[in-house]
Amino acid sequence: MGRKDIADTFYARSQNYRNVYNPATSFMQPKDDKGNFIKDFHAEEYTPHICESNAWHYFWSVQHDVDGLVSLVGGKERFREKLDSMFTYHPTDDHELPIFSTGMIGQYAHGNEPSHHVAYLYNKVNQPWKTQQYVSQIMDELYLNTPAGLCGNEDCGQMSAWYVFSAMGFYPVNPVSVSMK
Amino acid sequence: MMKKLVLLIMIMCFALHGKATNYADYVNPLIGTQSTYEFSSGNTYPATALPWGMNFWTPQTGKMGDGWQYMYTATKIRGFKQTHQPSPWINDYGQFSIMPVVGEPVFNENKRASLVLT
Repeated sequence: MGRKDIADTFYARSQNYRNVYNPATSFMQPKDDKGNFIKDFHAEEYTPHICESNAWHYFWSVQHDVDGLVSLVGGKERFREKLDSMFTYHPTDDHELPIFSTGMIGQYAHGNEPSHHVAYLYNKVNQPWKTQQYVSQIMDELYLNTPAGLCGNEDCGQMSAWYVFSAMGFYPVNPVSVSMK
Repeated sequence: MMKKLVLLIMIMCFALHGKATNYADYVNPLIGTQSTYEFSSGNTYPATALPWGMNFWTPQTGKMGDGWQYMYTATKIRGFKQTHQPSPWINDYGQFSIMPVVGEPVFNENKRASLVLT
């Protein structure tokens, strides 16, 4: 439509995720009304600042600019480390998880939707075998053909849609793009 | 002998191919129904509808207004409900329930509830 001014406005807005990134912790963090990061931040905690999730789940919610997120944390190597941590940093035995945080693999919660695309991000940093490993593990262990067969709320079809896409071998990591991973 | 074998295989192929596939057999509508408010294993209900259908039908074990309208572990059925519920947390709208009974009609959902025989 040739309206570059509108395009520029929304492009600038799409980069706002950089404003809540704290390089000291390499997480997206809540800020106070002065614009300072709120102290005593723990990424695995569930607080009112992050709706029905924690800072691990929502760190990856930059589906529209994964390359930008990779460079924000300092490159592919660092990004791979964060992905590995996501799937291996298990909640402690005495950490009481909220009812929506289920189907856990480390901090990854398949029973909740915000991190559903994360296993597919290994494809972006040249480790597709890890995508395949985790996607296969989720399909085998967290979906059963029984009345108790799902690990969390179906939520208007997303749990089933994830399975159908994954079983066919692709997934819309960025749903508004036209590409599949 | 070889010709007869080939003919037999061909007939078998046609016989198998000609058998209509019933896609409904691939669907298990009970997946995720063994859920409670406290513990979700899907929070689904066994909805039936045509693809893109506007109205869904489900057996109803919960009371009218209860988002957990069908629970796999329930022991009583109250009716068959026309439903538009996306999730128990969002609840239903435009719903009504019917229940076949013998003798005098009973409309109270508690009085007409019947044991589920398995």
